[in-house]
This record gives sequence, C-alpha cells and structure tokens, in this order.
Amino acid sequence: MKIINSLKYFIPLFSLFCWNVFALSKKEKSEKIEELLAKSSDNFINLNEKYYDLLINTPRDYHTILLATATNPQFKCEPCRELLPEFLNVANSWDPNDKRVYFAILDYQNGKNVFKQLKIQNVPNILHFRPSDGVVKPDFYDLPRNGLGAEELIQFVIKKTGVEFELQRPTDYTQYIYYGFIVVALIISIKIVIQYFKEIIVNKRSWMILTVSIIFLMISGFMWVHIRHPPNSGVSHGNVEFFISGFQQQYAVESQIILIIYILIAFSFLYLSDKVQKVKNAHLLRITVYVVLAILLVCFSLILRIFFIKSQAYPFKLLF
Amino acid sequence: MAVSAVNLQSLKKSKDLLCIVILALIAILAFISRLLSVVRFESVIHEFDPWFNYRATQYLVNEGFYKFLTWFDQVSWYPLGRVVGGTLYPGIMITSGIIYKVLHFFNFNIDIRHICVFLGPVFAGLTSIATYLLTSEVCTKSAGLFAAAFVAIAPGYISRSVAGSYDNEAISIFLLMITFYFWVKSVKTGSSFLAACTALFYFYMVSAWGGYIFIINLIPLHVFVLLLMGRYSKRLYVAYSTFYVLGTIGSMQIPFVGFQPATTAEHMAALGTFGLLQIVAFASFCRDQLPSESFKTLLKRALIVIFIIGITGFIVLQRLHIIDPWTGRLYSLFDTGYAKKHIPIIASVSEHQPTAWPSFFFDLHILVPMFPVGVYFAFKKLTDENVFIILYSFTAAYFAGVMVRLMLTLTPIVCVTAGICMSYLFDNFLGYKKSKATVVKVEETEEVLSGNESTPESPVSPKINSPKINSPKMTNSPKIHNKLKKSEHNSQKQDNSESPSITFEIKLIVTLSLLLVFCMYVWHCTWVTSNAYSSPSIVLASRNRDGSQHIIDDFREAYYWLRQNSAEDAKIMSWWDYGYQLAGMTNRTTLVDNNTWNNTHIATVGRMLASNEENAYELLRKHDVDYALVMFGGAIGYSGDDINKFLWMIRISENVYPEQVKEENFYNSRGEYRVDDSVSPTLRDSIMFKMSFYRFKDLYPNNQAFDRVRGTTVYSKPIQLTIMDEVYSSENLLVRIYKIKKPDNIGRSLQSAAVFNSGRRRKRNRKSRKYKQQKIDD
Repeated sequence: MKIINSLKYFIPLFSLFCWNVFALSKKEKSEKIEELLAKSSDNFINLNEKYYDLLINTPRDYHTILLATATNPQFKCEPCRELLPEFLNVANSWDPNDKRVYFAILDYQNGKNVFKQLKIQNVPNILHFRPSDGVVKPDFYDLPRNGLGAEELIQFVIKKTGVEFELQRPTDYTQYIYYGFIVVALIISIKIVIQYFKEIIVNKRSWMILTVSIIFLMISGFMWVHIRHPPNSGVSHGNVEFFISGFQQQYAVESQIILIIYILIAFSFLYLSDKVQKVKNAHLLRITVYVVLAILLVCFSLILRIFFIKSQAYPFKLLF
Repeated sequence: MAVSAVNLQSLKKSKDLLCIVILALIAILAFISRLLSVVRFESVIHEFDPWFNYRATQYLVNEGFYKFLTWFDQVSWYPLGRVVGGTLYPGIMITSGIIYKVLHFFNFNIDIRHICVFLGPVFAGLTSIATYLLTSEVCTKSAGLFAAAFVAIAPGYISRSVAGSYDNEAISIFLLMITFYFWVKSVKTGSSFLAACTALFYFYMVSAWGGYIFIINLIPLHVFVLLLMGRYSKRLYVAYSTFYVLGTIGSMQIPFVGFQPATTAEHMAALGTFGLLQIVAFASFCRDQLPSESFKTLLKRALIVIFIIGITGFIVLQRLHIIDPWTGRLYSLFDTGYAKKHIPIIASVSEHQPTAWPSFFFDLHILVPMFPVGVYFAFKKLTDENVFIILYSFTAAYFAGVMVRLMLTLTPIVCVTAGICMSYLFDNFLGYKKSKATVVKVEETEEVLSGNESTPESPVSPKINSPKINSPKMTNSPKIHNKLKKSEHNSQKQDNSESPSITFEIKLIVTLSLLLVFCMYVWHCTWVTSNAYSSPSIVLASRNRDGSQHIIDDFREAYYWLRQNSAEDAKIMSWWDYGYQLAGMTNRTTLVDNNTWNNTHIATVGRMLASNEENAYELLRKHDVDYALVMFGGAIGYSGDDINKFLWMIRISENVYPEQVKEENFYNSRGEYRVDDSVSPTLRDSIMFKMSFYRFKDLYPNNQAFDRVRGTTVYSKPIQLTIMDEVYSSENLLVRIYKIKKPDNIGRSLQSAAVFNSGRRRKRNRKSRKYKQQKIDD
C-alpha cells in the first residue's frame, strides 16, 4: 500500500518532468525535421537509423507514412522502383507546410537494424505510425492486394490519418505534345498505309486471315490465358506436365497445342470441302484425300485423348 | 426439254417434302433429347433463376396481366421490397401465360408448372427450325439441314434449355435466330415487311432477355461494315431504317427498358448508324442527280468529318452524363480485368469467368474446328448476308472467350458455319455422278426461281449499284467481287460437269469416316446432356456402390420443413443464391435473392455471416431475421456449399464495409483458407463457420470428423452457438436451419445467459464442470 501511495505523488512529478524534457527537445526536433525535409526536392524525409529514432520513436503529434524500400540495384527490386514515383505522387499531394503527416523513405542500406526491429522481411513495404509517446506497432499497407497505384495508397493514408486530401498528379505538358505528335503521326501513317497497302486493306484475303486467326485464338482458350496468366506448364512426379487435370483450368501451353490440333483438323476439313475440287490428277487426289483423312482422324482422336486427361469421366475415344 | 422439266418439277417437290420431313424430325429430336432431366428426376423447375420466373408466372396467371405489370413484391428484399413489374423481362412469363390461356380455352387443364417445365424443349425445336431458315438463307438448304441438326443437340445450347430450366435464355436463342433470319432476308430483298418482322421479333427478344443488346449492336455493325465496304444499297436503307425505328419504339414499351434506347451508351451505336445511313442515302441520292468528281471528294470528306464529330459528340455527352455510360457487366467484356477490381458481385458469378478450351470442346465438340472453315466459306462468297455471318462469328467468338455464359450466343453461329462447311464437303463426296448433274441443275433452277421471286441480289442489284458507289476507293471491291462470283460460278459448273476423279471408293471411305465422327458427336452430346446438363441442381443424384441411382433431396426437404413449420411472416436470412428458391418453395420472406439489384443489402447479409456472434446478433435483430439458413456440403462432399462461397461473400461485403470485414483476417497465419485446427480466429468466430460446423463433430466417433469438400479434418474443439438454436438439418446435413433466439428476458446478453445456464448445470456434475469451463474459456 505504501508503494502505491508514494506512486500517487510520483506520477504527476514524473509526467511534469517528462513534459519538460520533451518540450525542450520538441523544438529542436521539429527544426531538425524541417531541415531534413528541405534536403529533398520532394515532400519526404530521407531517413537513416538515427533520424528514424528521432522521427518515429520519440513522442510526437503527427502521423508518419514510411516507405521501406531497397533501391540498390543489387537487390533487383522491380516493384520498389515502380512504387517510388507513386509514393512521391501521394507525398507531393500533401501540403508540405501542414505538420500533421510526414512522409519518409527508409532505404535498406541506411537502416538494416530498423528493418530487423520492424521484422520487415520483404520490400517494398509501406507503414503507418500513429501519433504516440513512444514506440508503436506500425500498420502495414497491404501491397499485394492493393497494388502499386497511388489512388489506392492515398485511400490508405486518408483512412489512417483521417485527413482528407486529394491526389494531385503533376501535369505533364510533354505528355500533351507527345499525344499530339502521335495523333499527327497516326494520321500521316494512315494516309501512307492507305496509299501503299491499299491492296492489302481492301483485299478480302487479309481480312479473312485476320478474322479466322482471331477466332482460332478464342476457341483454343487464349483469352483465358490472357486473363488468368497460368503457368506455362507444370511438373508432376518429376516430369514436365503439359495438361492439368480439371475442367476450368489449363496451362498456357495447352492452348498452343490445342490450337495446332484445331488448325490441322480445320485444314483437313477445308481440303475435303473446297480444295479437293481443284485437284485434277486422279492418283494425287486419292493419296491426298487419304492422307488428309488420316490427319483428321488422328487429330480428332488426339483431342479426345487430351480431353480425357482434363475430365477423367469422359468415356469416348477413337483411335487411342 | 419439257419432259426433263416435269421431272425436275417432281424432283424438286419430293426434295421439298423430304426437307420438311427431315426438319420436323430434327425439331422433334431437339425436343426429346431435352427430356432426359424429366425422365431421370421428375418434372421440376431447376436451379435458381427459374424459380423466380416460375413464381412470377404463377402470379401472372393468377392475378392477371395488369396487376403483374405493377407488382410490388414485399416478400423479397426485406425490408426494402422489390418493384418486380418494372425490373424484369416479362417475355418468358407472358409466353407461358398465353400458352396456358390458349390451352385452357380448349379445355386442356394443364398445370402451369408443366408449361414452364416444357417451354425450353419446345422452343429448342423452334430454334432448330429458325437455324435452318437462317442457314438456308445464307447458303443452301442442305447446309440449313446440317445446321439445324447440329443445333438441335449441341450441348452449348442444351445447357440452357433442358426441360425444367425455365429461364430467359430458353426462349431467347430462338428469338435471336429468327430475328437474324428476318434481318438477313430483309437486307437481301429490301422488303420493309420483312424488316418489320425483324423489328417485331426484336421487340419480343427485348421483352425476354437482356442479351438483346447483342442484336441492337450486331445489326448496326453489319450495316456500318457494309457501308465501309461501299455496299450501300436501297435494300439496306429500307431494311435498317424500318427495323431501327419500329424496333426502338417497340423496345421502349418494355417497362424495364423504358427510355434506355435514347439515353444509354449501349444503344448509341444503333442510333449513330441510323444517322449515318440517312446521310449516306441522301448523299447517294444527290450524286445520282449531280454526277461530278469534285462533289464526290467533297462528299467523302464531309462523311469523315461527320463521323468524327459524331464520335467526339458521343464521348462528350457521355462525360457530361447525358448519356449513361456502359453498365459494368458490359464494360467487363472489353476491359477484362475490370470486374474483379471494381464489381466483385459480377466477378463472383461462375458464369462470368473466362472460358478455358475444355469448355469450348465440351459444348461444341467437333464443331469447334469446323467453325473457322465455315467462316472461310463465308469470306469466299462475300455477299451481304455472309458479311453478317462473319461479323456474328467474330463477335460471338470473342464474347464467348471472355465469358463462359456467352457460349450460348456462340453455339448457334457455330452450328450455322459448321453446317455450311459440311454441306460443301458432302457436295463433293456424296451422290452418284449421274444424278449429281441433275441435282446441280435442280439447285441452279431453284436459285433462279427463288431469285426471281425474292432475291434480285445476284443478277440485278450489283449492276444498279456499281455506278452509285460512294468513294472511288471502294468501287473496286464489288466489281472484283462480281467478277469473282462469276468466275466462281463458272468454275463450279466446270468442276461439277467434269467432276474428274473422285471415285466411288474415295467417296465411301470419306463418308464413312465422317459418319463415324458425327456418331461421336451424337454420343458426346447425349452423354453431356445426360451427365452434365440434366441435373436440376435442386435435386442431386449420386450413385450407390452397386451403380443404382441415389437421389439427394435435401433442399426440397428443408424448404418444405420451413414451409410447414415457420410462421407465415417469418424472415429467412441466407446467401443470395438461395433467395429465389426460398421464395418459390417456402413462400416466406427473404432478405436478398438472385436479382442482385442492391449491392449494399447483399453486402450487409455477407457482413452478418462474417461477423462474430455478438455483432451478428445485433444485425440480425435489426433485420428482424427469424431463421438463418446455410448450405453445408462437408458431410456428403457437395462442393458448391457456403463455406466455399464464403470468400466471395467476404469480398463483396468488404467492398461496402471495408472497416468491419477484412478478407485477410479470414486466412490463417500461413495465408491459407483452412477449416481444420489451423483455422484463423476470425473465421472460427464467424457465424457462417459456426452454423456450418455446429455439432458436425458429433456425427463421427472420437474426433474423426472429416470435411469431404475441403478434404481436411475439421476444427477439433466444440463449437458454441449462443444466439441461435439449431432447428433443422436435412438428411445429409446439406441444409442447416437455425432459429434466431429472442433477446434474453432479463436483459442479459445471450452469451452471458448461455454461460450462466451451463454454469448451473455445473453444480450437478463436478466432473463435467471442469470440462465445460475449459470449453467456455476456449
């Protein structure tokens, strides 16, 4: 009981003491921060371990958005490079004279220990530190889910800090010139193309090739590959596997194999229905018809066989 | 000559008769092959959406047309309700309503359910006839018969038209084909009567299915491409102007469509093409009057300028929100990554996934490789109607690649092109040499006859057209085309007359092997129909060890239990998938259903299911929920259950309530979605998990409970459920119904009441006390 009683007096004393100490350092600190902020051309603070403690582990009344990254080329961190301009976009959208939020960047080279402290295993990462009297556990921004875009990032910042501000992308006037140039170039090139490739554009055959090949791509599942980005092929029991079992999924290579088979079948149909009329030699005709028919049946059986791999319950097969 | 003419006449007659008989047989076949579901199971409405259509049809038949149009449904979307009359496509209900009235007028007292069940097969028969008409219009009659036979049993179409699948698509594929038939025919003839028929069927289509957007964009595209090709003709002008005006006025009569044709971006292409066509018509009229070179170039430039102004005007209007932008569903067709990012409710539906190649093969089999060959033939003889076939093939192939659901629109055109391919093939390899010449002659005379009657296209119109072509650049194509055509005709004649060396033996072998391929097609279709598409999904079938069929009827069992045992004004909470079935079979109020018009409300239900008991109870009370219903497949291995769908529910609610629901919390520390002991705490506390696995363990001796869907053991600690009582679980535990408890009558929270109650029991048995306490601490 005695101890508790004595504590009663001690707490206000202690807090008074603390307040004094921090009040003193506060001014210094903010000056230091301003100095750091002024160092970089954009609205962010380039941190190292020392400044990290100063900015984040001391009592403070501001939010900190920290980008933990590794820009050294030896890490080959592609996302780090892509994320940086987006992060800077968000940082620059914030009014630099407003002291409620600071943006900071910590490179792995400058702060290996900090990375250890925060248990950051992978870069890049964006962390939010809320105002507090000491060390806080940061909130991590979910990069894999939200992507590298500035629009999503700014939502995160707004949510965490509770301050509304809008993303202002720097207007890039060269872009307009660029687009204007492209439009002019396009018009000129269309003019040229029409002049020189009139035959091709007006030609029925070129349109036919275009249409038919796109149709071929669609029916052999390239759209699925384009949307889902499956692995090219898989491995099972140590062997390379070209066909994945299952109806709603496929490897990228499957589409290519299927496309070839479909093209072969389609050509044999085409030969039998159209080209066969033009063959005048009887022997040639006989041989080609048989060859084409054989190709047709083999490819058809092949596709039935492959389909059996996809759907194990499929009961039909032709040659093998 | 006279004798042969008589012979030809009689031959032609018997050919027509044969044609009609074959077509009738095909239509009957189309009907019969769709009855497998009735034979296997019973005459029952399938799946989810059909239950709503059925309920709406019942309402229409019982209450009359005008009440139906102004129907406000209080039983769904509690507490919001739904304006049904103005938010559905009434075509299918009105169709079956009319059939019902007609049959009853003739004193056939047939139940409305049977009409609903058999509507799909009947319209499938009509579809094969419509496909025949369209194909014979663009190619020959034999191609038409092939196409009709293909479409009659093509699994891609059967999937939506088996007996009992009483859905919009069942009738609208017929409407699609018949509209296209009349369109092609009206372009060919320039008859405004046929164009009016097109508009009429288009109106019917608008009343039946949202897919009418496809028609109202494909036909203008056809017109636009024809204009680009320099194939403007008066026939085209008459056909399109008539169709567009009548069709648009017609489509505006549907309450759900209303003024959309004038305000939304989906319909703007049609309007723009209409305007362009008027200008082109005016210009070509002027040119007829003042033939001069300078005018021509002026005209060309003016057209380009007008086109650009039109496009920019459209974009500006859209930016100013005078024209509504594209709907998300349509937009996701072009920007394939759009839906997943912005509208999870669209991305979550399995029908909206892209199509992998096995689906194409599964739905179309050997027709898939024939499809491009047919397109090749369409290119080879580039008439106006073949341009249409090419455009339809191309767009439908693209859309089917992006969305599994749109396989449905692809299937008919694949059948048409495959029919064309096969008819050319068998022209080469079937028939004796002698008779072949006569057949060819017959066909020629036929062509001439029909040409005189209806199609002035080939002999007359190009001559009229060629001097009137817009731009000098484009004059080439029709002329070349004409030449080509003539030379083709000549060469064909030569070939046929010579028909050099295809011997009988080759013919026999080719025909037999193709017959084999077609047999495979028929087997495949039958197999697919009976195994994949005939399951009503409300009644499940499995096989016993001895091979006999075992029917799992849990859904209806549970729904009937609710119907019999709950109060009439009870509100039932479930995920939206089961809303229509619940409303149709239990006749009770539901919170959300398959008409996903209110995303927020659906997200709220998702949030209820994803929250812990305390929060969920608050929400459940706020929504007056009496019963909660979940599907749980773990006991019998039904993979479409709620735990598997749960991640989508979470995503949908996270989109609306990002603070309360977070997807990452539902993965365990290793980032996996598990239901065994490594389950994430948030998932473990969610009422969805609790409702699914509540007392599931007790079914198995000493902790051997096994989830047959996820293929894992289940969470081994007992699950406490304090805010609701389990009132019913169906035979195979597939449907579990819980009754929400009333608030505690002395104001405690239900959790503390439960702790207290179990605490009282403690006194009786000291041994179990420790055990119980442990459980509660967990």
